[in-house]
Formats: sequence, C-alpha cells, structure tokens
Amino acid sequence: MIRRYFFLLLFVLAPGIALTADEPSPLSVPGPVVELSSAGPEWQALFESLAAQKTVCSHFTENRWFPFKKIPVVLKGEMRLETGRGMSLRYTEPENRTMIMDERGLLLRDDRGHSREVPPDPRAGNINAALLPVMRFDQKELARIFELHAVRAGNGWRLDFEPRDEALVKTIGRITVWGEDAKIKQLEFRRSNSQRVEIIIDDSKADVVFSAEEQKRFFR
Amino acid sequence: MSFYRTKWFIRLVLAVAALAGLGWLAQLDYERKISTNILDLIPTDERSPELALTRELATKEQSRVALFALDVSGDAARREAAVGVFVRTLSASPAFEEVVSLSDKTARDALGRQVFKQRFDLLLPGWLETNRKEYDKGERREPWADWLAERVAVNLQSFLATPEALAFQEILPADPFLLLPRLVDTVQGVDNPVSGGGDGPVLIWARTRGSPWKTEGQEPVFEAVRQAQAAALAVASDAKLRWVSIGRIASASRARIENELSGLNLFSLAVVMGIAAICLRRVFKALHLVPVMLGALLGAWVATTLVFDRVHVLVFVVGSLLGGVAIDYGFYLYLQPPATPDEPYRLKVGRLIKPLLSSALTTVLGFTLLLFSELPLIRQLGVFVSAGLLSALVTALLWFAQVDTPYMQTRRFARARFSGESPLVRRMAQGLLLVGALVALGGPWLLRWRDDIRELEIPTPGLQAEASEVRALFGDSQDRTLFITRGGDIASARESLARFAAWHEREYPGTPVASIGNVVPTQAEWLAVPERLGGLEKFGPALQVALERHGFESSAFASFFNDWQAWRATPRPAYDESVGGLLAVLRGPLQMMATAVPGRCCFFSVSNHAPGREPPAETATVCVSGLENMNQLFGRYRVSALRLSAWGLGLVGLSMVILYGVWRGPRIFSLPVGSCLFAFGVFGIFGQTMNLFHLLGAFLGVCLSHNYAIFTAENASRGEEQPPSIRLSALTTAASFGILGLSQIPVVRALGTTVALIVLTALVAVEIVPLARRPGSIKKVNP
Repeated sequence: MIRRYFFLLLFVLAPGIALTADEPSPLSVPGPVVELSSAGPEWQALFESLAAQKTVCSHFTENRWFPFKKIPVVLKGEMRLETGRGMSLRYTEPENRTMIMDERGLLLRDDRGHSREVPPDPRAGNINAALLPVMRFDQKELARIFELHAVRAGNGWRLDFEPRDEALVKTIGRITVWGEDAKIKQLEFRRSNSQRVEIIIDDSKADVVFSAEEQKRFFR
Repeated sequence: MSFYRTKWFIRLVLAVAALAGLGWLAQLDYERKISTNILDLIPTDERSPELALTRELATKEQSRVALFALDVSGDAARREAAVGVFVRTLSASPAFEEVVSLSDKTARDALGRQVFKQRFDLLLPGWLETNRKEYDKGERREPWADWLAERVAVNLQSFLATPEALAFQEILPADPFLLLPRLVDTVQGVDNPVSGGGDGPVLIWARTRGSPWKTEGQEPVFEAVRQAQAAALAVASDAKLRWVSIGRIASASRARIENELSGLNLFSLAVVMGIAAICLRRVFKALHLVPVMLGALLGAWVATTLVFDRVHVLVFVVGSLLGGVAIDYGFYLYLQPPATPDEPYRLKVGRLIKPLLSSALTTVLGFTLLLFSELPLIRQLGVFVSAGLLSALVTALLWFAQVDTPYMQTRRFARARFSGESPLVRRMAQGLLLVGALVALGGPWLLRWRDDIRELEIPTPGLQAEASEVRALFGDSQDRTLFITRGGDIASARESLARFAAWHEREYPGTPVASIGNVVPTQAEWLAVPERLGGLEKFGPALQVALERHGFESSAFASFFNDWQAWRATPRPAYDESVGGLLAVLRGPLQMMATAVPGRCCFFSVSNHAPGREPPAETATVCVSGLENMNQLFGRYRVSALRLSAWGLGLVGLSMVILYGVWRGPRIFSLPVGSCLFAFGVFGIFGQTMNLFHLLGAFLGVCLSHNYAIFTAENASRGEEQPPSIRLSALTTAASFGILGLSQIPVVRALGTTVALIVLTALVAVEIVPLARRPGSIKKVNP
C-alpha cells in the first residue's frame, strides 16, 4: 500500500522533478559577450575588486577529467597568488609538489627544495602569458588575449574567457571562472566534456601577507 | 779578387738571393698558406683526442652556422611577411645550405613524429631494461607480464596527477608506457632558444655552404645577407637585423690583422729609422741598415713558408718586429770603428765575428728549441726568428762587404757617458742596482698566470656585442653548458653518453642533461630486448585488466594495443638502421646535435648549469662551453713553453761558459737573466696577469739582451767602454717592440711590452753597472 502511494507520488511529481532538473541555471552556460573596456558599471565594479586583490591564499580541490579515465583524478592543495610574483600551487594530495607559474615560466619544486624548470613548448603558445592576466585580472591583457562572456545570477557570476589564438584554444581551451561577490569559487579549463580541469576553491582569503619564508618557499 | 770584383760578386749574390726569395713568396697561395683561424693555433695531432674532436667539430660543422635575429614591429602578418621574404632570399642563395626560422616547427614536429613512430624500437629497450631490473630486485611472485602490466597502470595513474599530464593527454592512449613524456626532460632544451615568440625578434638559423675561414666562403654569404636584408626592408622598412657567424667575425679579424700587419710594420720601420737618423751623423747613410732588416724579414718569411704548410698570421704580426732585432748586427758592424784607419773590412769582420756569431748562434740555438713545442704558433715563431736572425747576420756581413766605407760615426750625444768618478753618481747607480735587484728577487713571487684563448683574437667590440646578443637570444648563457660525447660509432658514442650521464648526475644532482642521444638505446639494452620480451606474450590482455582495475577505459587504448601487436609481429631492424632512421629526420639546429660519420660519431648535450669540472676521460666527453678547455690547453702549453725556455736558457748559459769561461760566462749571462727577472718583478708588483706570450716575450728579450751583454763583454775584454751600437740597438729594439704595445691583440701587446721592458732594463744595466764601479782603466773609444 505504502509502496503504491509512493509510486503514485513519484508519477505526479516526476514531470516537475524533470523540469527542475532540465532547467539550466543561468551560471551553467556562458553568458553574452561583454567588452571589457565598455562593460556596464556592475561588471566594472567586479573587475576592479578582482584586480585589487594583490594577494590571495586559498585551499582548492582540482578534478582532472581525461577521456580515457572513468573517474577524475583528484588533487588537493593550497593556492597562493601574489601580483608581480605569479601563482603558486602547493599540491598536498596525492603527492606533495609545488608548481610556480610566473613571468619566467613554469617551475616545479619538490619537498626537498629541488626545482625544475619546465621548458616552454613553443607549439603551445605562451600559456603563462595567457593565464597570468586571468589570475591578476589584468583587463588590458585580458581584452587582448580573450573574448569575454559574462553572466550574473544574484551574487553569483560567471566569466568565460575564449582565447583568440587558435594555439591557446587547443592547449588550454576555454577558461571559466565562477564566483560570488568578489570571491572566486571555481575555475575550469575546458577543451571538451571529457577533457577538462576544474578547480574548486574554498576558504579563500584576499590581501593576505606572505611571510618571507612563504615567499621563498612558494615563489621564486 | 779585387775589391771591385768582390763588391759586384757580393751584389750579385745578394740580388740572386733576394730574387729567389721574392720569387718564392710571389708564387705562394696566401689564402691557403696563411691562416687567421684561431683553431689553427691548436695542434692537429693534439694528444687529447677529445680536444682534437672539439677542434674538428668547431672547424667544420659548427663554424658554418649563422644565426640571425630579425626585429620587425607591427602585427603578426607584417612580421611574417618580412621574415618569409628574408628566409626565402637566403634559402635561394647558393651560399646557404639550409635556412630555418625557429618559429617554423616543421623540424621539431618531424622529429616528434619520428620518435613516436620508432618509440618501440628506440625507447622501449631502455624502458624494458629498467623495469626488468626492478622486477628482478623484487620477490617475483607474479609473472613478468602481470607485474609489468600492473606497473604500467600504476605509473600512468600517478603520472596523471603531475602538471605535465595535461600536455600529454592526447598521446597517452597510444603511449601508456609513458615513453615520450619521460623522454621530454632528457631531450627538450637541445635546440630551445630563450626567446623567439611573441613580440621579440624572430630567430633564424642557417648553415652556410663554403668555408667561413676563406674569403670565397665569406663574401657570397655577406652578399646573400645584404640581399635578404634589403628584401625584408622592402616589406617592413623598420626591420632590424642582428646576426653572427664565424665567417663575419673572421673576416673582420682578418681585416684588422692586415691593418695591424701593415701599420705596425711601417711604424716600426719608421721608428727604427728615426732613431738611427737621430743618433747617426749622416742620416742618408743610415739607409745601409734597411737591407739588413729587409734581408732578415725576407729570410724569415721564406724559411717559415718553406717549412710549414700553413702558418698563422700572428707569426707575421709578431715576427714583423724582427727588424728591431735584426738591425743589431748592422749596428754592431757598421758603428764599430776600424782598428786602424786603413783596416780592411775582412780584418774588421775577423775581429768582430766572435761576438757576432756568439750572440746570433746562441739566440738561434735558444729559438731552435721552440721547434720542439707542441703549439704550432711557437714552432713557427721559432723558425721565423731563427731564420730571420741568421739572414740578418749574413745580409749584414755581405752588405757591408760591398760598401766603400763600412763605418759610420754616431753623433756625440749618442756616445755621451756619465762620469763614474763622482761618488754621488756611484752611490746613485749602486742604489738603483740595489732597487733593481730587490724588484728582480721579490716581484716575480707576486706573479699570477692565466691563459685565455680569447686574448689571441683581435677584439671587434661592435661585432662581438652583436654576436653576444644574438647568441643569448638563441639560448647561449653562462648558466648553460654544452658537452660533446664522442665515439668510433653510434653504439660506442651512446655508451659513453650513458657513462657521462651517470657522472653528470653525481656531479650535478637533479640537473638533467638534454641530448638527442637519450632517444637512442644503448647497444646492451638493444640486444637484451628479445630476452626481455620473453614471457610477455600475454602482456596485452594483462594490461587491459590492469587498466580497468585502475579506473581506465581500456578500450581508449586501442591504438596502443594495435601498434604493440604490429611491432611484435614485425622483424626488428638493425641497431644502426634504427638509429639512422632517427638521425635522418634531424633538420636545422637539431641536425647539429648528433653526428653519425663512421669513426667520428658524437652527441651534443646541454645542461642548465655554469661550466664546471671537465668530465673524466672515460666518458669521452668534453665541455665546449666558455672555451675553458682551450684555456686549459694553452695553460698546458705555457708550462711546456716554460720547460723549453728553461732548456734553451740553460743551453745559452752553457754556451757562454764554454765560450767565455767559468768566471766571465756566468757574469755575461747574468745581465739578460737579471733583466728578465726585473721585468717579471715589475709585472708582479703592478698586478699584471701573465700568459704564455709574456713567457715567449721574456725568452726573446733574454736572447736580445744577451747580445748586449756579449758585445759589452767583448769591448771590456779589449779595455774599451761599451760601443754606441748597444745603445742604438737597444733603443731601436725597445721602440719596435714597444710599438707592439699599440697592438689590438692582447697577447701581442703582452709580448711587445715584455720584450721592450727587458731590453730597456738591460740597456739601463749596461749603462749603470760601470757607473756603480770605482773608476777603472777604461779607454775611450776612438770616435
């Protein structure tokens, strides 16, 4: 009896559930093209507050999706960003490793302090030159390298950066940043559904002061 | 024979000798005979094989590389158009064999495709060997195939968490062994410029066809570059070209050397003649000294070009100052007054021949020892000076035999002497000698020695600055070291590379060595493949299971499984054939990274650290960055030259003892040795860093001042004061060698200042020593 009611309830509610599931959130798809130089005041305020964050420290979870892997590879760690010194990703899972991305390129550092520079791949275009403006929200550089799509929903927002250069499209694909107020919540580098990297950021703190020891350890 | 007939006979002999000498010189192919190549200073049969190889490589392949950096402002299309037309124009020129823009990735892509295609042949052997060692070290509970499959899946899973994984995700389904990702670190960097993209200059690499050391190889290159630059300017009027090639620097160096050669020669001749004209009573009669100098130079040129197939131009630059030495004999013969007013020339020569022969033959003896040097330049200099001095002596003896009055008076001031009778003058002279002795005994201990091959080059600051800029753009830096590993064949070169890599890992832990050689398996790994593949018949299914177990879609790896099956079913090629297939696709800068000529195979390696200790001999590897090895080589030659000089000086000293006895001989010899020590003392006190050429200069200076000591001793033995010829001779020698101090070439400057200082010291000593003594019974020379 109870089971029959349950199925009846399910039958009645099912269309509603289905409709709710199918209805896309405004932040689940890219917004319209927004010119960085002539964006409305609500966007300008956001861009300025993002650009004003000179230092950021947060924890993150990175999910890497590969076409030949059934489940994503999950990495965890801490991200440090300092305008002028670049971005440092300190992975703590599955292995301890630090990756520093700055004007000089990409540097990998192990726990013993041994550093290894990753030689640039000329075919890949200048990935650093593309990513650093996103991290710093350098509007002039962003406008040069990307076409911006932007959308808002309440306090939430989504920015999609489509590289203008074909080589960058092939290597990093589209960069999407989700956020709430002036905080970045998630980043995604998407080449296809099965080839993407999403970085979920939590416990983000802006304008932190990195100690001399941290600067030495996490930047170059 | 009457004097008249003797005179004409001698003139005939001189004319025939001069004609024969000039005839010989006229028919020489100077392009072939005279080298401006700095590498010709290194012996071809150099005993260190790695250095011989370095020299050969530097001479042949590497020296033909030209590097270009083209700056074009504006948008990408404009840059592309300008670069395109530049590259096409250069490529169309027969002067260039290959022209590659580094923004053109064709060569890299071709290499990447080839390595991928041959990955099982080339990369699998090493991979299998490493894994098999791990398997053998363990407990071997699982079959080899299952163990390996599990390991592949685990490693792949682990790799996906690395930053590099994202870049390789496209090829991982075809390469789950991670053969290519693991290779990247050990190959990337061999041709990577530090700049080359974005708004920076476009970098173009080219290989010229002709020899960069010869004019006929240089000029077509310069013309082609001019045309290409003009073509680029037509497209982009602000296009700015910077470029470097060995040929460009060699051409500029040769032009400057030729200027030096003619300039220094003329200046030296003018100064020598000027001193003679000032000090001699009749200026016109001083022209009698010119044939002595010309005879010396002619004899030296003829002998050197007769003895050596190829002579370095530095020999002529340095040897051109022989005039200052050669004139000594002319002075001594010409300025020596006759014993009686009607003394025949024959008797005068008989009276003077002992000091003349003593000084000439002992100097020649000393320089002849230089023939045993390992350094071609020193051997050539030894022949040049020895032959020049003998020619000068013979010319002087013959020339004055056909002159009506073979005696010329000096002016009064040239013969003027300080009075040694004043106690004040005597004490001053003694004081000066004491100071000189202190400097000679103490100063040399402060000397620092260092040889630098770059000091042999004529600096061309503008060109060198441009060359440094361009090379920096192409990745040349103080923090990057280039090595060459050699072998008789590819297999032995690869074995040596493995030994070198092991040494490098111990010497520079954690700093990888990038080399194309890392793509090639060692022969041992290659030969072990059939054994390693034994037991892997069921590896495919085992790997599929392992991949699924670790969360992979095994079906996504279909391309790998197909390739694996196909490779296993195909007979393996021979080792050389397989490596040859790889090397055949190398183009542009990559082509320079490996040479597979039978008997002379080598791999270039690059590592990101400053040059350090030389790799041990068993690695058959030499560091080619920073010319350090060549500096060490020259340092070694300095020690060798020092040994020879010591032997030479010993022989000269011994001959003095034999000719002048146990008491007088050493006293005569103490003047040149003391002068040399004083000069070294001065250099030591002033902090001058010494090199091989200071040593050679010292040897030359000792031999020259030795002449003055002999002439002074001869006159003293006859109870006469020293002849004015010594003063004139020393002044002309010091002036002519002092002119070398104006040379643009550091080592020539070193040689000139050393000789000039020693000769002046000897002259001052000759003048002061009599003043320091109590007045004795010195007769005045009859003016």
